[in-house]
Amino acid sequence: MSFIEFESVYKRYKMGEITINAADNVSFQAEQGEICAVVGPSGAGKTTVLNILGGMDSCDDGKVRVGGEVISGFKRKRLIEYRRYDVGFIFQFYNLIPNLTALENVELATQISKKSLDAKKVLERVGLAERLNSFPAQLSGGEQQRVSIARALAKNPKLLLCDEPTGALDYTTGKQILKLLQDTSRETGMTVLIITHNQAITPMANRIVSLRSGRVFTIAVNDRPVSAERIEW
Amino acid sequence: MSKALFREFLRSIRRTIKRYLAIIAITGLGISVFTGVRATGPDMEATADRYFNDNNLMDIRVVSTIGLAGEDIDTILAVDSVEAVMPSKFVDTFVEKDGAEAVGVEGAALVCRAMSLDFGLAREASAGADDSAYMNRLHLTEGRYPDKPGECVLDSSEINSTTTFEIGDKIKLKGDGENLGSILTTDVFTIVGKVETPLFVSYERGTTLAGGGKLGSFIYIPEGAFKTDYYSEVYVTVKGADAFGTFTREYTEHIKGAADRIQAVSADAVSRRAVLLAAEYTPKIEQGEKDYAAKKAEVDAALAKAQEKVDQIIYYAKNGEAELAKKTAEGQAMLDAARAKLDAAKEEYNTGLARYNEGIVQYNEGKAKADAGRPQYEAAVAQLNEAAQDISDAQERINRQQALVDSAENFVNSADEATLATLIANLSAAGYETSFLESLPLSEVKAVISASLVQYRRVLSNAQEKLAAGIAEYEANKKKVDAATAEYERLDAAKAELENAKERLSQAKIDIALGEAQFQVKQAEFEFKIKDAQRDLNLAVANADTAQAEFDKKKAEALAGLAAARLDLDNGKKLLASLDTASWYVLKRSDLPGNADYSIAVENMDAISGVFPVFFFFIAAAVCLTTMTRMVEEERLQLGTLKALGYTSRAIVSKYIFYALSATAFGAAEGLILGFRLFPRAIFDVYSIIFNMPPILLPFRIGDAVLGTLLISATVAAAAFLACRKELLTHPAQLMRVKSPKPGRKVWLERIGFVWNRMSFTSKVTVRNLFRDKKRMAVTVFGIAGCTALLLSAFGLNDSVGGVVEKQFGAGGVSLFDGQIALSQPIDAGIENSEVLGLLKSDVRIKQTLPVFYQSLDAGSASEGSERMNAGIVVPADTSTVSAFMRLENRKTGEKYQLGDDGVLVTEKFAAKTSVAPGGEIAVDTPAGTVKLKVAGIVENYTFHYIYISSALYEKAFGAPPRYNLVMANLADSMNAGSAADRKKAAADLSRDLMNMDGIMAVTLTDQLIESFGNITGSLNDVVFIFILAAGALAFVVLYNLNNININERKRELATIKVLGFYDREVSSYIYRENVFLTLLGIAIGIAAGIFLHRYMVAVAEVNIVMFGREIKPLSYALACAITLFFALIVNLLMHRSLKKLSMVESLKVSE
Ligand SMILES: Nc1ncnc2c1ncn2[C@@H]1O[C@H](COP(=O)(O)OP(=O)(O)OP(=O)(O)O)[C@@H](O)[C@H]1O
Ligand SMILES: [Mg+2]
Repeated sequence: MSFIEFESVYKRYKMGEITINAADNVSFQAEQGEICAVVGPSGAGKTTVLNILGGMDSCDDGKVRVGGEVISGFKRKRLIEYRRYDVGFIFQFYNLIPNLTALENVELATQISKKSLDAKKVLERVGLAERLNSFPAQLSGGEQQRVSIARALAKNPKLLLCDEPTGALDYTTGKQILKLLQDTSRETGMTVLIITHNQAITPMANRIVSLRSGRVFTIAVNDRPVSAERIEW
Repeated sequence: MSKALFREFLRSIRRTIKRYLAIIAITGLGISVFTGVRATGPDMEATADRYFNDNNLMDIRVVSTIGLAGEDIDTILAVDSVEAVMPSKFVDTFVEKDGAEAVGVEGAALVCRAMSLDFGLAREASAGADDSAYMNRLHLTEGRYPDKPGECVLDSSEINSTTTFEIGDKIKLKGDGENLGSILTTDVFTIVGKVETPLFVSYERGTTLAGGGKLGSFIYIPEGAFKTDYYSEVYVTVKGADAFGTFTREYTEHIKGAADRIQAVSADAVSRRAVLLAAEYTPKIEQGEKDYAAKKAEVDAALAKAQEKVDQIIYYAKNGEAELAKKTAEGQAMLDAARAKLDAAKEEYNTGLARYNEGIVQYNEGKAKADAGRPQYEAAVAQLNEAAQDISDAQERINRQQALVDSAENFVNSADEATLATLIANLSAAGYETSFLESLPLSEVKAVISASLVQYRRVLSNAQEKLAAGIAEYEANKKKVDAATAEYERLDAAKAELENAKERLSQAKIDIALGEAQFQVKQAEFEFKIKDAQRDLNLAVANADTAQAEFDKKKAEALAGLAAARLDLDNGKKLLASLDTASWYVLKRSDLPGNADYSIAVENMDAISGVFPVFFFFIAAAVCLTTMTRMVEEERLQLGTLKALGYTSRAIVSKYIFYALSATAFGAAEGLILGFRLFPRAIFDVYSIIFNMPPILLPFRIGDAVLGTLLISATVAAAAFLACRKELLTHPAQLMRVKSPKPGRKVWLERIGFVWNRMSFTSKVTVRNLFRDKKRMAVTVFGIAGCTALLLSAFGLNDSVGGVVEKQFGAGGVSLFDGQIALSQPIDAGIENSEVLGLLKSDVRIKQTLPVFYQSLDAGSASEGSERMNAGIVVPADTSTVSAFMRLENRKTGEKYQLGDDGVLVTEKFAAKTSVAPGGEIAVDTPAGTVKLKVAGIVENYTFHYIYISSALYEKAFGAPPRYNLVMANLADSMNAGSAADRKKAAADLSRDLMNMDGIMAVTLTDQLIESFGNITGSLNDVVFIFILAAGALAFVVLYNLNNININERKRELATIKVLGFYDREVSSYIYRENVFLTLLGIAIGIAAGIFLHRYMVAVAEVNIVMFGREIKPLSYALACAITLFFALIVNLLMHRSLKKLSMVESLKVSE
């Protein structure tokens, strides 16, 4: 049994007469400790899949299992707990709380998690030891994304979900971020799901799920993922 | 606006529907309170004005203490600017219904004013006529107008009466100190209708000299029901008065002119009538006294005689009863004896019958036995008879044998022939053959015979022996037969005896039946006789009673006649005595009971309207303004997009202005529709508890409507415009950028390390969030503070208004006296000699009295051209006891004043209004000229204005000693004991008793005053309640709106923490904490603002003659906070729900 299992998952949006299938019979698996890249053109349903996997959204049909538990059947409270303890999110636009310092933004997450890591240490690890008391507005995009990663990592989740983490970043910063994610996965055995438009990123993933108009187009397994540093685009 | 922009406009409404609706609601509330509350006073005034004009309410009412004659009416009609007059007669009476006296709500007898009216006028008016001579037009609520004497229409409001009256009821009027017989043609009236009159707009019916001094009801009766030839009052309308609103200064001044002119002609008119009355009454009373004395003697004698007769009848009736009782006892005893005898006879008969029956049985037994032995017996008798025959036969034979033996012996002895012959005869008799002997010789014969003699002797002895045996047997048999015979005889005797007894018994039975019948007859006879006697007696007693009743009635009639004559004489004398001081009272509409109260209510409303709704409106406008500004700021992205797409700034701005205008227009429309109807009607409804008015007029008041709508629309549109301009001035590219959240910053609190470090993480977050957006914080705090301030000021107003009565008249208030007694004649002769005062002092219910001179005059500051206002001049007769009757103290400094001769004390409001200070001077206008007085101090006071002057100073300043016309009284402690009802009753009794004293004109007890004041201020309290509701609604909408904005602005942040896995309640409390803080801060600021607002409102809302309390009660603070908190809580609950529904996915979409 795989760590992540999508089994014929559907997500439909009714827009008046027409129905949009944001996820249309999506099935795939990912193993524990893997980096899984989800790629596809805009509107393919990547974010939809990620949101469902992260417990932020529900699916209309099918089953989603994470670590053997059927999260698609969770009740509201249980779903919150799942997000609280098992999932870390990283967004394209960071979504930091603007009026909290870097440290406080991380603490916001560690406050509520039982097995959380020390906020300062995590920030040190992402290379922000010097910027603990800076507010998001005082940080660069890459730094902000690192705070965001620190916030996700500090909860010590089993699953890290990243929706275009490099989308708003320049080349080098993006690479740094990707490296951070890869290192984390390697060091802690955390399962990481990365959404990206950027096909160039895929070589660093163990598995590449390609979506097109809500359907799984291909699933490729990469036995030799390259280090993030070596990726070029 | 282009089509696309219009569509975008509609879409933005849909997107921000909550906000749009909030603007509509807040605008609506603001406008409705603004226009509605402000319209209420004018609406009430217009309603009264229309009511008074439509019903041709009098402008002036002239009452004369000695009545008004036809000439007087003419005099008044001739006065300049008098339009029309309507004279009227009235008499104040008690009322009886079904023989029971009607009782007022105070527990005292209901006093009813019977007024005359020409019902022809009323009927014509109903048919549409508009005769200026028909004033105070009645409105029939039920029934019809009277059309013959002995009919009346009654006051439709029965609020003052505990007795209820229906159409068809007959009521009997009873004079109080007046002989109705010489005033009215009849004192019994049938109620045929019920009416309302504009004379009485509240439940107050005014004062009276009758009963306890308070009128409770009125009836109108046909003018013909009055015998009197003079009028009691005359109603006057003034030319051109209708043109002025009844409560306006212009109206008052217009009327004052006419009133002064009427007053001016009164002196001549009064003395003219006084002379006539003196001429008429002086001889009339003289003659009357004589007639009265004669009549009284006559009546007394007649009564004594009649009484004697009645006594006789009663005596007879009483004795008859005793006699009857005796007769009854005797008759009953006789009957009882007869009964006993009869019962004994019955007893005897019964034992006899028993014995007889027993005899019959015995007899029958014996007879049966005897009958069985009868044949044997008869045989024995026959045998016995035979045996007796045998015995006599044997005896004969023995006799013959004996004779033979004897003759044979003789013959043997004598042997002669003679003897032989005898012998032969005997022998043949004995059957012996003798023939042979005749042939034999004697001797031979002798031999034969001698030989035969032995045989003869043997036969004899045999026979004798046989006989003896036979006799013995016979004797034995005979004995037996005799016994049987005796038995038979006994039986026969017994039978005869039984027969006899039977005969006797049946006789006895008949006797008894006869006796019984006789007894019944006797008893019936007896009962009949007794009943007859009883009936006779009853008849006698009844006759005696009716005789007594008839006598009593006749006596009462005779005495009533005398009393009536006495009353007429006394009243005539009083009239004569009062001629010197006779005068006219020229009264105005404001003197009508309840009229001034209504005008005070209107004034109160107007005063409050100047503050509360305005403040309310500004809060609403301010909230709309910020809502609009925030909205533009939030939509900067759209702004940028539109601008980038090539729309002109003007087009973009017009979209937001259109948004603002459409929302405020909808709100204003809703507010105007509701406001002009809801508030005046609701407030008027509250007042209608005490006022009796036609439904309120609700005109659309264009001025306020336009003003309010313009103000709020312009404000909100301007806000939209300014906000857009600010955003549009920045470069579109910058606008297009993802909305950059406000940067975080250290707050000042962080610099205070020991506080900051001790705070929990969540409180730190809260503090940061709070300080990040100071504008939002300010707006929220402002909104909450505004609502709290409104609530607090509304509650505070309630306290201030309600407190007036308590502070003026309550325990520990300013006026300490328990009652004021107005005298009909001032005490001139010196206080020690005053009869009235003596009477008052001797009443145990009155503890202490203080004669006072009281006069209401116009006064003001002594400076040139100062404004004058009405104030009461109070000159106590004795300065040493003043402190027991009123508290003369300065409210602010607490200084206690002693009334001295060097200056006067003026009340606080008077001082404030005229801006005089201690040491300054006031001027008092008297008919004789203006008097200037130095002010020595300013005393606390809440209702009306007073100027307290010592008697010495008064005499010095006014040039005449004070004429004490009022007595302040403190009541004995016993008057304050018992239940509220007891106290009320005791007070009513005291009032009535005082009113019955000579020389007393009116009695006002403080408790009664408190009650009537309480009614007015009480309804103002209810009005305030409406404000509280409005303020509460505003608080709710504002809080909801602000929260909604808050959540909208922070959707992303909230979605983020939701994604982080915050529980629902943690997400809510993330915001709650801020809200709680802001709410508390808002409340704190609101309380402070409320205190100021309240102070301002009280200052503005105060009516001229009333000073409201300045304090707000703790409960009001508590309530204002509690209500705000309550709404905050509800809003937060609603927020919790919307936070729960907040979609993370939607909120985090990049395009936001
Ligand atoms: N709330 C919604 N209502 C209607 N349709 C939606 C909604 N959310 C997403 N969709 C549709 O679902 C489809 C999948 O959207 P999704 O956001 O998953 O795409 P994506 O692969 O993440 O695209 P991108 O790379 O642009 O982020 C799209 O066609 C989108 O229009
Ligand atoms: Mg996406």
